Amino acid sequence: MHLEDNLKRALARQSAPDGFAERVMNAVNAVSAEARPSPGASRHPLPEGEGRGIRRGWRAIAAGLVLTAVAGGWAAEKAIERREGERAREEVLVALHIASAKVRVAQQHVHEIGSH
Amino acid sequence: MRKFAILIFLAALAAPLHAQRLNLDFPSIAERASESTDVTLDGPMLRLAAKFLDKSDHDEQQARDIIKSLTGIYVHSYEFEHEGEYDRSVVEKVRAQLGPSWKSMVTVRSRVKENVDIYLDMRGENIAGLLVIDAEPRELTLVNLVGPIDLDRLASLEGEFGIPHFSKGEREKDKEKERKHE
Amino acid sequence: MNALTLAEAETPLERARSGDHDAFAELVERHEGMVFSIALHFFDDRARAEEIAQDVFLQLYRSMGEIETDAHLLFWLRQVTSRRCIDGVRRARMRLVSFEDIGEVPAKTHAADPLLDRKLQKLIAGLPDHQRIIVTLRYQEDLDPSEICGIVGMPVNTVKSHLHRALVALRKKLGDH
Repeated sequence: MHLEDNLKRALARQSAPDGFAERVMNAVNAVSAEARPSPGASRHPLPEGEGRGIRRGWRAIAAGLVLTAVAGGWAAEKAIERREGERAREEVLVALHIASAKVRVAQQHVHEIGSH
Repeated sequence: MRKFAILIFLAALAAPLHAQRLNLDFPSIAERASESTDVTLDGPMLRLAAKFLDKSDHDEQQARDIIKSLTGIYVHSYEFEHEGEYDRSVVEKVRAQLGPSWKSMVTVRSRVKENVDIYLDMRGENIAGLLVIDAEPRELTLVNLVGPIDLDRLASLEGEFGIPHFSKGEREKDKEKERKHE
Repeated sequence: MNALTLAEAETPLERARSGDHDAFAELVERHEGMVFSIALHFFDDRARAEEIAQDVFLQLYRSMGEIETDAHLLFWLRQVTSRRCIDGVRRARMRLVSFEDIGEVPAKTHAADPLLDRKLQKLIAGLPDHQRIIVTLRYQEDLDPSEICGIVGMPVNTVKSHLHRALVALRKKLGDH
């Protein structure tokens, strides 16, 4: 078969890993949340007597930040696990490929001896 | 003291039940190599890798089945610029680690090319480990698979990688499979 | 708003441009295979390809305002992915299998030989960076040198020359004279 046909087949598009779009959208949501102005970040001072409201506001922001940090930490942990998993997968395939290639050499020699 | 002796006795009894991981790590060899491939995957990493192997891909599914029962995969492969650049005594150092349960399955000796040795860790009827030593003039490859190995599965994986099957009977079986698929 | 404007506004690209995350997700799903595959064929490493593809789509999100049409989006994705691959290769870890490591493959091969596909992918991964991305764009994306030159930012004759050298090298390795 012609090399160019083989190249087209070998380089055919492959599906992205499961959940890829979801992971992208999580990252996109995180980026857009960062870009969005925080309600507590107003530059205009609030009138006197609204201290309790401000404290409540800050508590809500703090709680939001904690939740974001926890969720972010969990997402980061998952991303690391996925990266390690993909790497382990590659290594398994490389290791088995090497092991089988070496076993083949031995098998071929034995087969040649057997056929003589 | 008596308890300690019992513990040692129990440990000695239990030891043969566990497959043996060999030490294939020789930093001095790695330093001299122009190219090196090191794969060290223990049980947890193998379990993690299994999750990421593609079930819809036949090769990867086969690999998944093979690693399912393994507790370790250790591969060290080194290439050198020039012949005789590595200390061949490392091969003896690896062999010296093999206990009485290890049996030599294949030994290939070639003056100019590869010297391949394959050993199996036999526990009764079962295979508990595999060691491959390939010592070539400019290449040294050491492979240790730890855990029960289903040789049929390993052979079928080799078939998938385009490696010819060993016995005539096996080839006939495969031809029959191919006919069924057609 | 007239009917035409409404229809235009309903395309995923238009909606994504106006900040609609669902529409952006639709664009990601539509193009993820292309972006991931370019990076995968370049690096021959799924984890790295996914990392690159994620970065490309994040950059797209930030640059949505610049994207004018669907054709422009396709061009933009191919260009940014190719650039990221070339830039990323400097930080790439040592390749596990070098070009010289691949054994000879018989010229006569089966029509759908997975082993040959794998060997070709590894041979391509061993080509010099520019040849690799050009071969990927030529045979994965089925683009002509005149289209590739705009993506990789090279004169068309340079693209042709890279392509020619890559094919000669691959033929030599495959024994396909």
